[in-house]
Amino acid sequence: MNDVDRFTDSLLGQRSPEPFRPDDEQVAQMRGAIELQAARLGAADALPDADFVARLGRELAAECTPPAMPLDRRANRRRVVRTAGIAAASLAAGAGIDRLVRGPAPAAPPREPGEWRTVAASKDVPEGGLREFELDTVTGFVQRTPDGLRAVSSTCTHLGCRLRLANPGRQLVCPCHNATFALTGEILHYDLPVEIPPLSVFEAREQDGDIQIYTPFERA
Amino acid sequence: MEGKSGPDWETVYRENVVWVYRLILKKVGNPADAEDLTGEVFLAVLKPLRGNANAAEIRAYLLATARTVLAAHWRRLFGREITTIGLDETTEIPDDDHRIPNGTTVPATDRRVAAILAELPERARKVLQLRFLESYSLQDAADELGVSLANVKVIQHRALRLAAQAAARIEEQA
Repeated sequence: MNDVDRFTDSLLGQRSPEPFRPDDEQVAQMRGAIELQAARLGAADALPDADFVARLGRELAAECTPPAMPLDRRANRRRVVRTAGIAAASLAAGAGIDRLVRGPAPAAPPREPGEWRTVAASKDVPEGGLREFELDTVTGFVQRTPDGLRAVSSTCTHLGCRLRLANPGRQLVCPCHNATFALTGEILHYDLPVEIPPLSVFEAREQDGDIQIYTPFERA
Repeated sequence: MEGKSGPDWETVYRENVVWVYRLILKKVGNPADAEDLTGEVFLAVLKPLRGNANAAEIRAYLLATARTVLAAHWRRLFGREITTIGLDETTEIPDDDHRIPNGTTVPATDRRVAAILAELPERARKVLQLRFLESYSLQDAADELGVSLANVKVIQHRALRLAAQAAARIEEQA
């Protein structure tokens, strides 16, 4: 049985489908199966299972309660929900960097464990130039300005989506909720009912013809 | 900060859980994943939501979060997005749970299935009707149509692709 047949059977059996790597044609077929099955289930006016609604409601209530119990026990309460790994990790990473580089004494901030890592060759970033970089722990943009090198994270501080560079204007735009940041990390625009912090910035330096940034993470 | 309480979460949850569930079920097509992702959406919006957010802002935020959660779900499973939630997706999702009294009118969802199937050639329509409306297995559908199992699979593949195209066309016209 091929992957799309299996996918279709899992929907018809109201089960979660198994992962595979579909090609364009298979994606088109999967969309058809979802359309029909969603229509058959009456998705637009379906009612969720009452037990599920009650259980999730209790979990949210527990999350809202100030942490009277130890944090690790609170974490265990998240049974209904799978961990949303990547976004959470990116946000946690962002917070770490933020503490690192926005310390109260910029001259000699106490460094968390980390390392200098090369993100570009010096010659590839001329005066006024800009280059995107991607390390295993962080992604961002490095820029050479009249004031020197500047490196900024491209992980949105809202839910951890990766920001895109929008030209003209050299702004970083979030594809998820359209939050917009300047290359300095400053928030330019967002339309969310929540407060979000500015982007993390990195220390940057030039070393032996390379541009390096200081990241608080060890290589995987 | 601590003195000012956040939004009344029970109310936010109660007023939105059915709506979020429907929004996602429509895009994943199975209740198990719809429950998981609904939970993810609410946990994601729980903490950041401002105390003074109004109902429309909360909806917009839930919609935006559901988009992100759905996209992550598909990438996790299939390495790419299979369906997406549009920013104007909300129009056809009713808010409350008033249901049509038994048998008085044809539910909109049945009309939608019928509209999609009506656009397909005979054979494709038949195989999807057997599979999705009458719960036939592939083998049973093959027997009914008098073709081999391999053949019915090929017909189903093509039919599903055509159904997706038909659904997209219907959406555009609406």
